Amino acid sequence: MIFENAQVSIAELPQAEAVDFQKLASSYRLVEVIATCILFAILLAGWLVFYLVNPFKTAWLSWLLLAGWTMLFGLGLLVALKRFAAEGYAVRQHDILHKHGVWWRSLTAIPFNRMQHCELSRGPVERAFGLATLKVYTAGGSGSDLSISGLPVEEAQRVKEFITRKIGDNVGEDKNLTDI
Amino acid sequence: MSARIKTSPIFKTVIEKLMTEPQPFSQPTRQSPAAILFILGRVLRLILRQLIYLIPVIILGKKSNFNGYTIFFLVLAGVSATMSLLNYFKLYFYIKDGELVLEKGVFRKSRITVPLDRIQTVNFHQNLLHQILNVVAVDIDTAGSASKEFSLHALTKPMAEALREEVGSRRAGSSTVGGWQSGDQKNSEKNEESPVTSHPRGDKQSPVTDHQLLFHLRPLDLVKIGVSQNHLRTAGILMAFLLGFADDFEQAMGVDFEKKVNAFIGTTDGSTLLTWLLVGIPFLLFISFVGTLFRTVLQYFDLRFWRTERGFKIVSGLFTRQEVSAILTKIQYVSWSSSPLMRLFKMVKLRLPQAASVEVSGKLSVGLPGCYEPQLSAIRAAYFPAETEQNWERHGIAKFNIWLRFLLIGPLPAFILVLITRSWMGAWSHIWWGWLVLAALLAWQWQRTWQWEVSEEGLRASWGVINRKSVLLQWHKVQAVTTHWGFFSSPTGRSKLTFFTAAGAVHIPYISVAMAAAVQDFVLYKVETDEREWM
Repeated sequence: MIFENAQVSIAELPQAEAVDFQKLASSYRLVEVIATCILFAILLAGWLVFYLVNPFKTAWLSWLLLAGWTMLFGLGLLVALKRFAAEGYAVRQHDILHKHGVWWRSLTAIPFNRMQHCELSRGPVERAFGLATLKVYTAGGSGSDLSISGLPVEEAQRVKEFITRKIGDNVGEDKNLTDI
Repeated sequence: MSARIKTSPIFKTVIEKLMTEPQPFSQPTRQSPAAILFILGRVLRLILRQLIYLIPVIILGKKSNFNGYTIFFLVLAGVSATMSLLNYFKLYFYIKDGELVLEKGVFRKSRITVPLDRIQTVNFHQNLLHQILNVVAVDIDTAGSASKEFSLHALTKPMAEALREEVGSRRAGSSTVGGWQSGDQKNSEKNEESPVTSHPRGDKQSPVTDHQLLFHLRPLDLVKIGVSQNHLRTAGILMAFLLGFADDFEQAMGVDFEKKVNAFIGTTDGSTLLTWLLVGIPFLLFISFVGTLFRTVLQYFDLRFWRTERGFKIVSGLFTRQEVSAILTKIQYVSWSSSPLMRLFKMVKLRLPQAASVEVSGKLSVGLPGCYEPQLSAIRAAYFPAETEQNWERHGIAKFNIWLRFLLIGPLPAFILVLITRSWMGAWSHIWWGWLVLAALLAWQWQRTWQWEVSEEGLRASWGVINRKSVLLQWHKVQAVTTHWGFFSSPTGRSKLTFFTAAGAVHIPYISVAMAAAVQDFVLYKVETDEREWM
């Protein structure tokens, strides 16, 4: 055994939960709300067709459906806002953390020394709002890849550069070890 | 200590370099001429697939067109033969500046380069024709999700072995501290040699000799494995095939099967239908049984499992001999499972998931369809040398899971069964509610037997009532850790932990949120401070 194996105090390990998570760009909240509105607008159009055609020749069914739509719309908006509030990420010295989800919450951590590469992507909506999506890839193409949407562009670029440098550092260390 | 020197990869490389030509594969090399046949076969298959719809036309066509078709086919044959020859002569591979290079193409030339340290595995396979011509096909898998596979149709065995050895030794030279070598060093006693390396002409050239045969599947084992396979899956495949066939037949012949079957069901009474089912289902199961047995023999005939210098190697198959190798550092975790029948035979089915690109991950899941305790122990010791020295801390899953599982498998299936059988079983159909008792027992047993253990270096878990599954994972193989928790979470709530590796994920469900967080923090610490190669 070449490496040292000092005893670790479990209680003193850095806790992923206790980190201050960075919120997404506040304009992303608007994007989430707009996306929800678009979805429900499509549903409303469907309802309108149903109302005009009236296949069952009953008025009350249409109004019941509209009531249901209103309730779901409200819930959808609430969830969209909650989702924005629940999502966050944190860059630590050795890894990146990402938490998200309202119903099913999750906290994912990927150490820099296990990352293969990372990239930024920007769709038309994201470009309009000055946002970007950060994607982190690990080997094997499994589900471990991380994707964080709704970051301000400059911030995303800074994070990406930081991660790229970290990945490079790790590769460099490996190289040094092999030279010995 | 002499054994250590003998197996040291760097030392071996030096000897090889002295004994063989200074730089193997530095010159552009062609495949074995036998490759022409395989390329021809591929070209013909490609063309025939395009023209498959022409064949009935030709067969059923008028005689007057015969000459036209003959010429057409002659031209076709000529073109494919020329294409194959050109393809063969225009394909070279060589190693230059630490990269494996493949140049090919007649009209559109292409050049693929792969850095040697990116190569995950070099696998061989042989079908019947390969065996007759005494050549092997070589598949080279590279890392990264976007990369393409790199394959050669036919190489002579010594050449293929030499290529693999060359790639392997270059890789071994570039690997970091703490590789596989901490494993057992007993490799030097060679019990038996691989059929590939023991080739008479290959003896001198092929440097691989330190292979220890761990397991040879005897015919009796093969039968045991065949018997304990999942026959329902074969039945499913068979049904799908028959239905698909019926569909094709319908379209071709204009017969409506559905109508006929409906008419048949309509005219016969329930008891006749029942008789048909009683005869039909066992018959289908019997056919499936024979089918799986046949498939098992085809696939795993004469399976040999070796411990090689850098990992494991498996050769198997009746007509198509398949050789897959697993490199120890690439193996992400060890998982094994057993059905009740297999437990009766004291066998386990083993899987060694390896880091690989997406396209080939299915092919690369190296495993044994059945083996015994000594083989499992040998593999566990090789993958995780310190396993037995660890202090393992045992945990279970939340009691709450019993209720959840019972609700999932209990009421709904029973209700559906009652509903279906009520028409002809009458009041007796309520007998299905008895399922609830069984479901409760299963759910209880599931919770009771779900166990996971953590230690400084790794995780082992086992679960399942009817089929038992187990997994052994070393922390430094982990690439990402996720904790999931539900809406109603509290410090005593339920949470799920997922460890992602380069070859799939390992999950631990229904543990407390605090426990999940603690394990996540610990594993992150272990991964971030570990400098060993993990893939």
